[in-house]
Amino acid sequence: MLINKSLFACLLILSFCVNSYTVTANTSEGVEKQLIPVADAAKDIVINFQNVLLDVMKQGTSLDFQARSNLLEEAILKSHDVIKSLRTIVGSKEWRSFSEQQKNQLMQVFTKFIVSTYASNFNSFSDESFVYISEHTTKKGNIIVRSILNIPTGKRKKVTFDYALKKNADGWRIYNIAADGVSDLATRRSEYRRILADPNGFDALIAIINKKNDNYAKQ
Amino acid sequence: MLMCFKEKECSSLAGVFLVSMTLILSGCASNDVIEAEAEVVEVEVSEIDPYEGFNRSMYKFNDKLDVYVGAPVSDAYLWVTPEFVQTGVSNFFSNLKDINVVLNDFMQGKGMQGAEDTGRFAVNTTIGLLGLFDVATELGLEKHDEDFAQTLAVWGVPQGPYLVLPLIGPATSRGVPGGIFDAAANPASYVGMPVQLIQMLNARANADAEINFIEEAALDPYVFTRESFLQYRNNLITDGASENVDDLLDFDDEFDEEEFGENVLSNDTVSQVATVEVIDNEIQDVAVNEGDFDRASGSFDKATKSFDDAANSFKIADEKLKQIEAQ
Repeated sequence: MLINKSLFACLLILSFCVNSYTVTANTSEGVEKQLIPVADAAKDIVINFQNVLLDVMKQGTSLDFQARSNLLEEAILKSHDVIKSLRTIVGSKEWRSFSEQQKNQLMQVFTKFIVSTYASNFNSFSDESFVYISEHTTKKGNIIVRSILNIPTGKRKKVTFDYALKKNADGWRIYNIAADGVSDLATRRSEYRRILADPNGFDALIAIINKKNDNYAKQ
Repeated sequence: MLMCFKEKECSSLAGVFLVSMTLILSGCASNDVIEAEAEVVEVEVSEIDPYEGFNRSMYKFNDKLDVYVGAPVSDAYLWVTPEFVQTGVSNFFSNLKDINVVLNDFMQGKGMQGAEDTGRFAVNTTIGLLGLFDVATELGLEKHDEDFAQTLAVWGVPQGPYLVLPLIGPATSRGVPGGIFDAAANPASYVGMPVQLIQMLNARANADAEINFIEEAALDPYVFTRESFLQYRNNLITDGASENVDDLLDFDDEFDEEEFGENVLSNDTVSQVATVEVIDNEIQDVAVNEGDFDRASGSFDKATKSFDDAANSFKIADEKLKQIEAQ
């Protein structure tokens, strides 16, 4: 126990040094306006989003699908870079070939689809909890935050969630999530690009997503 | 380990077996079927899925079979069987699989994990009443997921093409000898039909949530299943190593250069973030050690609670049966 406590103290001091160093480094470069360590900003985005998820789950029985969607849409738009996700999914060449109107239309149904998937699946609470594990920076300078969702009553007791965050004008934003190593963007990319390869691909894609959205709304 | 994964030279006797298996399986799909499908779809044949035409029809077959047989039987099972029986059945088969997990732990050179999983099997078979109760997890001995297909990957056998097998579902050609070995190492394979049927039913019921999710969320269920299956398997093989996660999560976006000309993070900050991560990990380790005692004492409370739950679900099951009789 004694060793543990002294270890704790050392770690606390060490982490404080690292944090304050990060702050000064940032201000001198003028990258950050606020004095928030870079690493924590990304982690906070993820943790705040997970807290909203848990909140919505806890209110799952008292809120209907639409009410859950409204709460989740706000949280997703605050923490995710939806347009970057969508651009990566369809591919930049295809994205450029769309008209402004098409881009807006796709963005609108896609956002609704993401929100509906969350609202439909996170609809009840049975003591689930998120535990933060680690974060690290990738070669491209993005941050990956790893956390575990514990599901005490589930058939699968835990699922590892990795969040990839990229910095945009508003700060760190989630643009990809992997559950137990299954990357959301990679899977969607294969699906969407497959549909878009068809001559009428754009309309087909909109039609399929709209149908999925309608099915979710009926629940 | 992964270096070897890509080199064909590594393939050993198992590799020869695998190739012959692939030939047999690909022989099932006549070339005409594949070509006919390819013309309709007009998408270049993906490297990982050269038999897409065959696989798609097999997927359709499995899907139809599931809609008409798998899903109704599984729904009935989930509806009528008390939850504690479902958990017991699931635990029982999971415990038998742990024998195979131990074998594969050692074949992959994971000595520590092998010892842990041996302990798991011993505890669950004795205190857990032949595996009906998963006492080991409550005591902090986590369930691991290892099988012979993963061992082959660790040994350097290439993944091979993606296959959808009748009844069994998604696999890769490496998974075929893997599956045969796993079945041979599972005592449930030797006891006869009723037990195997229950095992299949249990597997289908356990996958219920995932199957429903795919139905709701996938735009192209075949592609969705293929992509998530291959990524999930890869994650199991590498045990969730972060470099692999990076590759999967960190996508190139050609727009980045236009919008954000410079790299946001300098090299200095990169190393700092890495240090923070190490510290966080250590703090977590310490916290886990302190939590062990609480968990062990808590598990006894949970055990008594599960008996109450069992009694309760008996009542519910009884009511349901009366409901059926009344109809």
